[in-house]
Amino acid sequence: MMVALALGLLWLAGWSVTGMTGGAANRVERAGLALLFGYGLLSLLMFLLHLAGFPIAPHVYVPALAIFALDGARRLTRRRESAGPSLRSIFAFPHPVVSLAGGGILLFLLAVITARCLYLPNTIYDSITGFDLLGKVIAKEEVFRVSLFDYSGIARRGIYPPFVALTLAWGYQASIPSSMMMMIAPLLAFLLWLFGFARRYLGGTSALGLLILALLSPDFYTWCQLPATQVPVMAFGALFFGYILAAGWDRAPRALLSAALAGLFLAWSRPDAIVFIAAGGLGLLTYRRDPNFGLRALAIVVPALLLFGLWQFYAARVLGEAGASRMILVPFWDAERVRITIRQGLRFLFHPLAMGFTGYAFLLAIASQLISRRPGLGLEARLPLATLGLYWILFYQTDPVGQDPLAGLMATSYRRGITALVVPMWFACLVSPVGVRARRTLGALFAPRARSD
Amino acid sequence: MRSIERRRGGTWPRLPYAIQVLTILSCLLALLATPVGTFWRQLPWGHAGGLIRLIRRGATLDERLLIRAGPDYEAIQVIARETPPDAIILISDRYDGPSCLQPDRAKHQDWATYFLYPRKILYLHQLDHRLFARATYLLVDTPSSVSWIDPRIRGSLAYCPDAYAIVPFDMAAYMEQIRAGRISARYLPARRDPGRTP
Repeated sequence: MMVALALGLLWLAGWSVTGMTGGAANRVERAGLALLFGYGLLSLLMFLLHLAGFPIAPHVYVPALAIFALDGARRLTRRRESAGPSLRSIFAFPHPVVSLAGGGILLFLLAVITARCLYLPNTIYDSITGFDLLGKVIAKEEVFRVSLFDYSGIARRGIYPPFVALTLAWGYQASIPSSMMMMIAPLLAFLLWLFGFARRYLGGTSALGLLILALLSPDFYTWCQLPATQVPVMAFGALFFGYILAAGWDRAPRALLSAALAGLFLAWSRPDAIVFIAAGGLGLLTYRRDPNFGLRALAIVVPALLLFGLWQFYAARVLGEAGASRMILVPFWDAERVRITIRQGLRFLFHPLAMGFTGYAFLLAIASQLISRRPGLGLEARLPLATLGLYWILFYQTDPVGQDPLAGLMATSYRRGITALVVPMWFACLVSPVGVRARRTLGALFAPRARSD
Repeated sequence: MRSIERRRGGTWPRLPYAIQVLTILSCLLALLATPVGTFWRQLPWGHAGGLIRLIRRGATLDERLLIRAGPDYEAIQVIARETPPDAIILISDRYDGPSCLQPDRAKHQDWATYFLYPRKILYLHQLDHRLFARATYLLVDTPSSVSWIDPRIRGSLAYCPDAYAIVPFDMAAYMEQIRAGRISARYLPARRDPGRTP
């Protein structure tokens, strides 16, 4: 009951935000988006109200959230806002084989992931010694600078923007028994959004295929169930890129508002997510079809950078040691560092137990774009490529002194970073020429046949 | 609605049907050529059987944590059982030599705090912290956990050298005796060597 109330409130608040920003084309997409934005809004409200001097307690932030939720409920009942394609048409598949086999595989995957998340308690080291611990203690002490910062090593993880910690704190304060619940709900919302979004450009069968391909990538499957930072980065990263693409392809600048908000929450999830924001900005700057996109790039990147800056300032000033930066500048050519970073990067991208076949499929998609009749990389391929490149530069510049050697640091951090690219990469594959050809060939197999009699 | 090729601006050259089929078949072969066994077990169906068995058994939260965290969680349970919620527990550093708590995550400050909160856990080398002088328990698991204590008091502690133990230790009274000069000030744990890995 408490879980339903807590998630319902978040969902309604998120529905209000999605109404303000727009961008969602159908109700399925908007329903998923609403919960994700609800989570983002909640953690931002908790933090900003705390910054204004209020404790992090339900009697402070729930009324603020309820204002949004009331607006969400008002929008939900307005006929004009809830219009759009019917649910039946969104979930319609061309052939019973697709519905039965595809839907069956997807439901099985979701059932295993959900059961695993809800049944097996969280024991992941990074979460136990970081976000989950912080969330648990914030929920008890109702301040962000909890007593742990005085004596424990938590300060080292305090540099992480607080999306996950505050979300989990809300879970503990709402007496939701497992922190997993707070992380599985956004994952399911994300998959709902992904289906609704991909449905617009790929059709029902391929949207279903995209979900299955993403869930079968080992790292996605392994990481998507952690109450850690992977889920928000994965979700907000895909939302960010998705709405940039939607704005370009559909010539709908309003979708950039959703991209800007997703970027804001992305910067609120993990420090290295800044790479996604930079890649999104670069992608828009190089989008040649519309010269105004340069200015729009700035408009969506600046709020995210400001929020990131605010957090860094807070971490340095209020959390003390947490603000210590580990970035160094290596402007010169260090062949050994280059060798390590490139080797590790390629190792994970093409490792069947890391990215599965995503790396190979992405390579094929890029090759097919380059040899197509009108060669050139589309925005959907440039965004993940730019992110991969920027990640490489980030790790080249990271100082591992006092931590693992560079290779070890990359083995953990880089791998997690590029896991968030699974969805954008598979999406780029499916809209590439080779993807279109493969979908048509498979589509011909499952096309409804004309009756012979 | 414009087609997706138009949107992204490029089309794939039209290929004969046989080549398309061959391409798809070779992709499938490449898929099978990878370490299939390991890959297969990584996928959700590799986990489904064990999960169903676990759910059928109706394991409690503690049992599930024991399965996930192993002996570490066993030690956590012992500490939780033997200390009140307001306890301040002193533990030796993980790098202070071989511990009889193996694996030793249970004596990692943050890892243990997650399960033991609101108990507070301090390393022995944090003796400058204001909570240190109010510590009420000591986790004994390596020789260095007790070697700093005055031998007269050490002898009265109930622990076995070969097994870990959580023993009551009134640090306030101990510090008082040091201040009164009844115990030498050298009987205090060493501050942390700044060069050592945290």
